[in-house]
Amino acid sequence: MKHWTQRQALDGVTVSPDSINIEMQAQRSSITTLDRTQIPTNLVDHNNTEQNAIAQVWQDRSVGTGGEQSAARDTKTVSNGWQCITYSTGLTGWNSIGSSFTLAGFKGGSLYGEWSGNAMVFPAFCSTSGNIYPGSPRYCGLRILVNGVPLVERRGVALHEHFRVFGVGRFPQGDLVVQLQIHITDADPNDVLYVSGIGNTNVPQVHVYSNRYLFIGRYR
Amino acid sequence: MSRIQRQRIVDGEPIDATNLNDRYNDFAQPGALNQYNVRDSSIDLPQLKADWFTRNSWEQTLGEFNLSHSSVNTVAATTGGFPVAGHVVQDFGGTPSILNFGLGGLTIGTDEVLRLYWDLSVRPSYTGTPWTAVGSFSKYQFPDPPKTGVVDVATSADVWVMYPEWDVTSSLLTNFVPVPGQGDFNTNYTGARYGNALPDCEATTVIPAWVQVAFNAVDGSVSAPNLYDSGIGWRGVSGAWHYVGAPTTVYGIRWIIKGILHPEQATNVNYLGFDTVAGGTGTVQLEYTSGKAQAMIMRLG
Repeated sequence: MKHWTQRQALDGVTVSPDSINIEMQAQRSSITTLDRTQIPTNLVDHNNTEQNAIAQVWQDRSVGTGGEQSAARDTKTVSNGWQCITYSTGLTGWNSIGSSFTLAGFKGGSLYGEWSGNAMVFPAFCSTSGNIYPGSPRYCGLRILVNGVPLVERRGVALHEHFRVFGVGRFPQGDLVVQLQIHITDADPNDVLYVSGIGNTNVPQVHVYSNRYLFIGRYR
Repeated sequence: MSRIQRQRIVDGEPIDATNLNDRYNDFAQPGALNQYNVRDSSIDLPQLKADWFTRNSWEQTLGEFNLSHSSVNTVAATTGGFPVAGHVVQDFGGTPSILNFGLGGLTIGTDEVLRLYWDLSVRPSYTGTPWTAVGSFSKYQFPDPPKTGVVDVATSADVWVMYPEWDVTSSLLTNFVPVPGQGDFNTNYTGARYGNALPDCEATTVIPAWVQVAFNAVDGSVSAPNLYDSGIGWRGVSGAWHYVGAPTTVYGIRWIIKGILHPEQATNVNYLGFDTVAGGTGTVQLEYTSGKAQAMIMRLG
């Protein structure tokens, strides 16, 4: 609160109009009792605010290993396919496409996050013997975890195509740890996993590349 | 809110210390220098200048709208002749669709990010079974027990690619190059193979060329009669890219389409390379009509 600076009114002291008038004049430039309804609009330029005071952006347009997922990389795949996830790599469930990363300095509030890239899924054996009700369409599920909580989750890609997932959530103050995760359809007992021949014959099943992310924290 | 509610002093009202202190306390607002008045309630969106966070945004139609598809643009698959220039996304009259930032261009500062998004209505198509052509990279051969042989199954990994190029030299817009992190798919990485290593595909949108599925695979084998292939059909494809880095002035952005390309590996590097054999078998093409491109420049904080 403000304090008297000119003539504090004490009991027993003679008072006059100046007792309050002078004090008011001395403090009339103060804005500590003004709120946003009394402050002019378009007052604050970007140069008037501290860095990240109101919003903050984190980004990487080549996340993972050169933008490629590194959850698994089978080197025994066929030559006309990528070194990527095969059923020989044993992946199941949700897996991070690379190391987690931290949204350092998040001040608490709204968080928007988007993750985009390309995903290749080998779709041929979507309906194997004895697995037709329903079939087992191959797909690559996608989700963004923030401090272990899903920000967005999607069933994802079923062919070789581009994807973009985005979501918004509210999170408390503090650094946020983010994981970009994929989920591949598990192998079926009748699946065809190897091409004919000798040597590197594993069939590429899933790969995710061109990975990029952009997060925006809004603190107001 | 901090507004004084006490009535003015009127004639006959005592003006003693208590009265004055009450009025001063009204003005001084005990507790006014608190979180609410100084932080939460002091400044909000109305007080921020309109360009405080997002400096500007732009939108550009890509191609040309035609809901009935009575008119389309058509891109033929590459059959050779490298380097491949590619097809510039354009309207039906052949005028390139360029996201134009004007004579002065758009200057991206060190503390800013350029966000770029695009979409396009496309229809990949083919005739025959291009993936079975001799020399094509677009098939796997799996055991076919009834014939004690093998059967060709499409990898369904063939794609068309679409990526942005920008001109950072002048508003004449005659010097387009792929945006940073994006290659032009003309790298000769082994033998007669051309394409991009995957780390050079930062701004690439891939569009599937076809799909083939097999039903009733049994014990790791599949029979040819159980294969079904299909065109992709009209669909909307999209892409995204953003730039943060050295200060740059951008004058325009356009989009390139090339195809068809297929995954492969060389010296333990993953590539997306042209499959000119499959692309040259039958009629492999990509039709498109329209879409939109949006750009937004924002501060990083």
